[in-house]
Amino acid sequence: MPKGNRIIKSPNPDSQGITAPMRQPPYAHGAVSRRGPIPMAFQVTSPFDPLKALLPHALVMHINPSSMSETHTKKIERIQTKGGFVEQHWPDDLSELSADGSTGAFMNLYTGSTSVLRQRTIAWDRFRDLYDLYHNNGSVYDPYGNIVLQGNIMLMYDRGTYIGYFRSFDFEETEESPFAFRVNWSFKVQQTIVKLPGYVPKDNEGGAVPGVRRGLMPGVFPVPAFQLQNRIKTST
Amino acid sequence: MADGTLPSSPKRVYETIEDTAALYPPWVYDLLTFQRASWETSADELSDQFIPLTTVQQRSPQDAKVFVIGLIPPSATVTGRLLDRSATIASVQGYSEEVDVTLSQPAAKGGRGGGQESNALVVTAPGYSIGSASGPITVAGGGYGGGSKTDGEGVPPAFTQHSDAELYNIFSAAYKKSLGTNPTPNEVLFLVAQSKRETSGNWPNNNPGFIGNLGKPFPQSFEHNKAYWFTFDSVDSGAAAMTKKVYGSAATRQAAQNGDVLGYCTSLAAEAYYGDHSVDTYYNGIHKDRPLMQKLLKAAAAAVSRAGGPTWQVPDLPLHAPEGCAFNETGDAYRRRVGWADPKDPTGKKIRQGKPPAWAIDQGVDPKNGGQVFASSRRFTKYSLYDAGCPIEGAVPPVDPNGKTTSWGGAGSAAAAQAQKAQAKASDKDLNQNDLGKLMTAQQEAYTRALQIAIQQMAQTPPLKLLVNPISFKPAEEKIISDGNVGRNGPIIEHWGAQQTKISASGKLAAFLALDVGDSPNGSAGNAPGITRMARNFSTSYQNFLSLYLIYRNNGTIYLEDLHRSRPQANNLAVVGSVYLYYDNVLYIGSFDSFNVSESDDKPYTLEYDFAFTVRYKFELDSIPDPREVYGNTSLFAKKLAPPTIATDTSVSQPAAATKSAESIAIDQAIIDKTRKDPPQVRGNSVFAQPDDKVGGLSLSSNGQPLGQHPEIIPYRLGKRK
Repeated sequence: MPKGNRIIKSPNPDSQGITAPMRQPPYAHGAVSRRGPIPMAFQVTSPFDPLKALLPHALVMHINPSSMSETHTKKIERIQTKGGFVEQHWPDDLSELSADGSTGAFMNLYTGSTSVLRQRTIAWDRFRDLYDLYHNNGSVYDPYGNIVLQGNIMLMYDRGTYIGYFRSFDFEETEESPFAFRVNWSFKVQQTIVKLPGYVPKDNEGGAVPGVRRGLMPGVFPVPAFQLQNRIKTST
Repeated sequence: MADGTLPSSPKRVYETIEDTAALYPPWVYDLLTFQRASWETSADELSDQFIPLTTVQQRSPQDAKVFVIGLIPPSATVTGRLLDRSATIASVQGYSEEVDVTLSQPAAKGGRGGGQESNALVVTAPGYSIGSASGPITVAGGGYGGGSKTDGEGVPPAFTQHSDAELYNIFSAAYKKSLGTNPTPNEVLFLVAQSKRETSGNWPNNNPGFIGNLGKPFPQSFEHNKAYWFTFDSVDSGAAAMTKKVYGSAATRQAAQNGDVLGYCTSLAAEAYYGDHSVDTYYNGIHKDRPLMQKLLKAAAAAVSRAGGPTWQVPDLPLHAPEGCAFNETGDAYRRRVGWADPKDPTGKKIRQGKPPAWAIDQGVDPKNGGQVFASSRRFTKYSLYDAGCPIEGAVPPVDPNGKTTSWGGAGSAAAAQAQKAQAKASDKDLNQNDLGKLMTAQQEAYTRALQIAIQQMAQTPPLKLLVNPISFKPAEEKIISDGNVGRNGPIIEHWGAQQTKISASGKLAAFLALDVGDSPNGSAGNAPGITRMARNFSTSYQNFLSLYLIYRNNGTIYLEDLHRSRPQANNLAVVGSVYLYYDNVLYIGSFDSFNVSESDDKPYTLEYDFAFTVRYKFELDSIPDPREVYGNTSLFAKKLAPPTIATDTSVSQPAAATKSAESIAIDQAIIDKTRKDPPQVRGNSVFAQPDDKVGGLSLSSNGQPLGQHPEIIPYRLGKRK
């Protein structure tokens, strides 16, 4: 039995977790210790508090994507004038995560790899989990199918926690992989939460030094002189 | 130079970049402001369990080209009034040296001396230190008798008199008693000077510094009685109370330890120790004819030294505190400036009546006392950064948004007349029904301060060196030419100049390596250092990438909190600076356009990235030719070169010609001739003569010293080869 609590915790305080009949924690998420595989995981969060998770358990991807890319774009408008170029800077565009991968092999206990009975396989269920999550996308629908409230999807991975929503989802069945789907999806990021490795200044009690994070660090690092040319001057 | 070394020449731009760029961790760049509403960081709690590693060899700029990315803050001088662009001139011409005001934060939080801001900053400037001394904290012969006091309405206090040496012993014991540790000699010395400043050594009713005087501070008079003085039963208890009050702030204690007289005075002001007086007044005394604090410290140091205590070498400090409202502004002037004063009181002594407005409470004002004392000391707190553009000379009050504006003179354009009419309609009416005007003024003040901090911080953010240079680097330049139209006589071609240079680069991270130190709460026994996928966040490679990513996120921009709080955590883009890339001796200044990261299953131990960058300015930097760069037949090649021009390095002060001996002049001339004839080895941008050199048969060791140690050797700078 490993030391410490390695079970993946639900951020939902109302969740009681899974107990009997298992003696071992049912699942240890690699992100807890960074010493095991780190699956990508999803949550649905509250429309009123993007950091408040609603599901009792995170949806852990059965199989991580085979590739993932992060796209960040600045929004800058450049206009040529007789006096040179004028730049207009605006806040960043929403970042986008896109991933593609494969489902697990559709394998039934009685038939082995199967296409006909793939709806009766674990891989299918896990695929449907993600597909259903995409459909839900954190929205609350009225009986007529209209969105009345919009929550968020939380995507958790070792590079950070991303809060946003699915933008697209498609899957493909080809003759090259008859017992699995190719899946790709894209996700728009509204908020990113990143844990920074390495040294973080601490005070004597072990907390982060508030003054440092607020910004004053004069003379801590050497900088090229030209960086200081625009320094603030005292008016006279 | 007399020691045989030539003075170092001013560094060139490329040298300063290469010298300062390093593999800084991500948290350095996380200190910059971002869109906080969409970006949040925290410390990784597992950082202690992994040690970042890399197999990438650290290379010097001589071994390989470095790829550096840094930030240049916006060229803006931010004052309390407006955002002007005068610093643009400085960015071209270089800035003029000013008073170097330093803001630093004490290592530990102090107590609430005086019940004020406990986390006060030390505001000081170089050159106001008396240095430190080590030695005993008591001196011989410094005994003192017990004090006495008198009580009763209208009864004058009993005075006890103490010499400097006695005070030194008294405060040494008091320090240990009240703070629980042994003091440094400096701390005791400052207490002695402090007490002398307040009492001249005559303690009324054992009160060493009129601490706790109730309402009638100066002039001291024998008519005072215990209604006006705190009285103490003994000298010791009085000294202990004063020690606790003066050193209740860690900032004050730290300044005293460092011998920093100006910082000490400022720290006391931050604790509202001397009310609304300016720092300069406290430093100089009301007569302003000499640095009073220095005089007292000097006298006390001499007396203590004579009595067998430590020895100080107290230098002559500047007569006044440096210019700048941090040191010259009074508390009431400050209150007027930030809108804390009662609008009806021109002196600024009275504060606003009633409950403080929301903005004031947000910034720490205690509603119970209305923030009066806090307001006077607040000019030294984190909210008030004096080195960054405090605009006053004598503390001019801010423009009252509800006050009268400039007279239009009753004539002029119809618009002016209309404005005058509107003004007349609103005059003498209190439009400030809901503190909106004051609120806006205060918010503007807070906004400019925050901007000043952000700009200062960006200026001090060091450039990042990439662990591994990009795989591809492609500056694309293009002309803007319209040649699509054709007239009857041929094509119509319009030239519009050059498009901005676009850089596209892509790279791959070095393999992720980290050492698992084990013995963690999660049960790991540790693993040998090696390539890792799970703990890649801790590898040197990933951290370097994260630093790059954070610079991209910042992109030279400064986001500031929307003080109107239209929505929680709303940040607005305030001003834009620049990002610079330095590669291959070229400095590109501009900003990022996009940044992409990708990972795939076939490359589990790396990430690939690419970015696009638009260049506003490009500088090909002057550099020193590396001897290894010489190609071909060096001897033949050298003959074709024109003789280099020799220019005296004006940055080095030279001996006056009249004081030079004929021999030394001859030596100098010989060196010039020799250098012109046979250019010596180039190192840096100075020319170094060889130690065993001889010129024209004249031994340069004629005075018994080798050439390299000749006292009158003048360094020469090799002119740029055409």
